[in-house]
Amino acid sequence: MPPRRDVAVITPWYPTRQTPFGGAFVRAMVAATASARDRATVYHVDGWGAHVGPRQDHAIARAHRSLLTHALRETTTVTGARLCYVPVPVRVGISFAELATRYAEALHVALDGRRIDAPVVHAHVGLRGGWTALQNARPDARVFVTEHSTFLPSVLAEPDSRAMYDEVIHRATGFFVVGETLRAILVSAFPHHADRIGIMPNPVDFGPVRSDPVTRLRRWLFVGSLSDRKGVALLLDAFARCRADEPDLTLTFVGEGRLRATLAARADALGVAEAVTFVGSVMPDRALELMREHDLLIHPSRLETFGMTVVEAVAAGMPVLVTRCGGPEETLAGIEDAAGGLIDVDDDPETIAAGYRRLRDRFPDGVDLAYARAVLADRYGYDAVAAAHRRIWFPDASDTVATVRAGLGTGDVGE
Amino acid sequence: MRVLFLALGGNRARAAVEESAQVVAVGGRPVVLVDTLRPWRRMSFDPAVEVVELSTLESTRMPVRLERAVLFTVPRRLFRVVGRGPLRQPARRVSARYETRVAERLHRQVVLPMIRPRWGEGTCPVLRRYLAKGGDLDAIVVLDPASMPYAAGLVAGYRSAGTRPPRLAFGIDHLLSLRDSG
Repeated sequence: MPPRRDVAVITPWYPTRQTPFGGAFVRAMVAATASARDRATVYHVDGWGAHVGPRQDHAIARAHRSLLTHALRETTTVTGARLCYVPVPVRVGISFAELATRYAEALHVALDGRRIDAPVVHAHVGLRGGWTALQNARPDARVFVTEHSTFLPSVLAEPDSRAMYDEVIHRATGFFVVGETLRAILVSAFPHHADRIGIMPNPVDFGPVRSDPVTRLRRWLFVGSLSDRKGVALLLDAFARCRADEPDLTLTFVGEGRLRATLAARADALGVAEAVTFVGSVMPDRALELMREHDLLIHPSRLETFGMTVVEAVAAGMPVLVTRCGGPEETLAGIEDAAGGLIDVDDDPETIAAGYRRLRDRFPDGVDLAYARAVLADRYGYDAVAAAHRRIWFPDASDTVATVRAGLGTGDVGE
Repeated sequence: MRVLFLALGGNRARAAVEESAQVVAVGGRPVVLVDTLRPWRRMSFDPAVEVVELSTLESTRMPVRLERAVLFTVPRRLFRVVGRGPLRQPARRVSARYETRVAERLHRQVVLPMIRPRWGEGTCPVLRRYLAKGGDLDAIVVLDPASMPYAAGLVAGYRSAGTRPPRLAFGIDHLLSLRDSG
């Protein structure tokens, strides 16, 4: 007898050996929702980019189809869910809609032409996940989509991708985004779907809290990619300014990116190289350990759709200083001072330095990490997110459309 | 367990390094096939990993020998003839510039895309000869798109020879989880 609550998850992002941090939030969603279903199969449809011409692209596509039917692809992931890996060769330069078409075709071949045998399919990312799910779900399946992408405006700027996106929202049983920033973009692009786009936050693991509470904001931490979008160059400059007054400050960068060498050279030029550590990429567990070993997370990103790192830091028991870059002001709404502080997005390192000094001068007054943690656990903890998914996947008599909307935003759960 | 990793595209290097090391860790013998070693200089494989250049293996094939003669050998000789006396240093500089900016680019962007897919989808005689020296292969792991025609060609070669092809996967974890589960 098939499991009563069977869910398929389709995602273009999931941690692999090549990208150990890619799609960590999808893995967190699979872990968090264990109580909301009896069985789960994750289809990781992974794009493998290649700079090739049309001729080589055709040869690769031919070979790919023949390999897909013979290759071993299954393993298991968190909570014992099945993980089916489907690589998709993609020629660099094609549109997001073409990408989505290729993803959907690849999964179709991997499934040997059959439909996904689950009554509920939850896809991540509008086109590569959502379109792939809609094209491969069985006709009676209920398909949900959660959008996370920071590059959504680029997708909607392509006419074919925009039209496909419109169709995905229209056909999906429920369509969600991880925060208001993304919702505003989609509602602006598709006003006719405004009442169909709801909020489904990323789940965050609220594991054990640190044993020794923060007493001074001495050890700064940054976690994320070392890229322009994350504002890491401004952070380094701000750190040098603050360290001129407080020589025992340190800064640790966790993550990789194309700015790493530039930052190292800049730290040298600023005379703070001995106080700056580059840890490189680490596994999520190690990142949480580092959060418990530091005193202040500084997250000067230019744009975030959710700001998972910020919530994880508060969950780990550290205060945060974070830019109003979309997601964080929403995730920290109502607990801004209790969690640390918010600063504006601009190109002046003094904004970060001044934000730090304000927080330092009042710390620990007004900072109540235990309260902030409890509020965030209620919003984004595994139990809260599992309950939200259970309500849309397998609603019972008490889960009316209205209660689901109240819990998640304005999403429509269909019939 | 002898495992062939196909990493001809070179754009999923981390997976190639980590997965081949994983095979060493479980007592296996990994062979990593790359196009040329140059893009891999900054990556460090486990010392027990055998890294093989496909370009070197294929350099004995007639089309490649002809191409090398047209693009490299003949121009080099011409530059040597012209570059005598005071023209020696300028001719050397121009020759080096020609090779990096013209010949290498033509090789990578025109010649290889023309021959590689066809050779890949074929039976890969030079690759099969090389692999045969080290004993039977237990598995082939495909790591990037450029490697897919070669993987398909190798599998087809086994089938046309009436032998069972090695197991095929897109990552070592799929092979090892199968092994672990019995």
